[in-house]
Amino acid sequence: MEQGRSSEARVPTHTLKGEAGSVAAREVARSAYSLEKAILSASDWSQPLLELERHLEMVLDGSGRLTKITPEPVEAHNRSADDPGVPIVRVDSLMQRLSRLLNQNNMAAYECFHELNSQLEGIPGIRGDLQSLAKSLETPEFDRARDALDTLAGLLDIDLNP
Amino acid sequence: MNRAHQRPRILVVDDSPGIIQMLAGILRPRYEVLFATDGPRALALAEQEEIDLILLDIIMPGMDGYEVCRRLKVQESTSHIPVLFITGAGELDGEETGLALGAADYIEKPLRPAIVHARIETHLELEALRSQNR
Repeated sequence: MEQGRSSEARVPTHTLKGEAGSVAAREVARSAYSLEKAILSASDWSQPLLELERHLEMVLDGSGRLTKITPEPVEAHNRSADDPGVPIVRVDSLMQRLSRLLNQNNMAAYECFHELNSQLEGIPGIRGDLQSLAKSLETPEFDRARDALDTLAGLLDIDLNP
Repeated sequence: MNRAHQRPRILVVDDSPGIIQMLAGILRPRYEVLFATDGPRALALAEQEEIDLILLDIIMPGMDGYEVCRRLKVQESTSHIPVLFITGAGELDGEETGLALGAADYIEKPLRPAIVHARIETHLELEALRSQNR
């Protein structure tokens, strides 16, 4: 745009407006719309461009932080072409069963945990929590195991008390 | 055993995690095993979880095994559950006390799997016969 080719900037600005709107980045969409209007009317685009830049930075920073703290959805993990990934319903039901067994101090929790562990193996970001749960079961300290399971459920966004 | 789970359900009560682990290793192939490391938790589980038989340590911090047994036997919902005391070698002085409180039997340490299974099976069968006559 500084090189006087502002008309070429219209298409990416329009695309940005649409994409931002589709992911609820309303301020980015709004300022992209202002910039697009300025380009089309050949009016001063410097202010709308600055505003778009500011909003875009805020969204990108925010999404970067969200990516760091949000575990990837369990369904998204396709570990190989032969493996269709983790069925979230199965994981959900195993975690609820494990929770009930832990509340009973029932050692069938071991088998249930091994099944759950095989479903969750390889998912990034939860390995430490699975190890902590395994250790608490072995000790056996089921109060700690319950805490570890609660943490794991929180990371996977699973409600243990539906 | 008139309930959803098929295998007999044994409650192991001992303040030592090592003993619980060892007994769990012996029992889990045949039974569903629950455990408690203190008396109050044992009483709560016995009341809530349809237990078929209890293996109970005598010497525990807080409420000892005798007191747990006494409370189990005065509570209508748990009085029918056979209680087998686990005792150390040469510690059978309390046998009379335990039996007077309603314990079904004793199992002496060191624990031998064949003996543990035999005693448990005997008392599960006896309780099954008793429950048929009730």
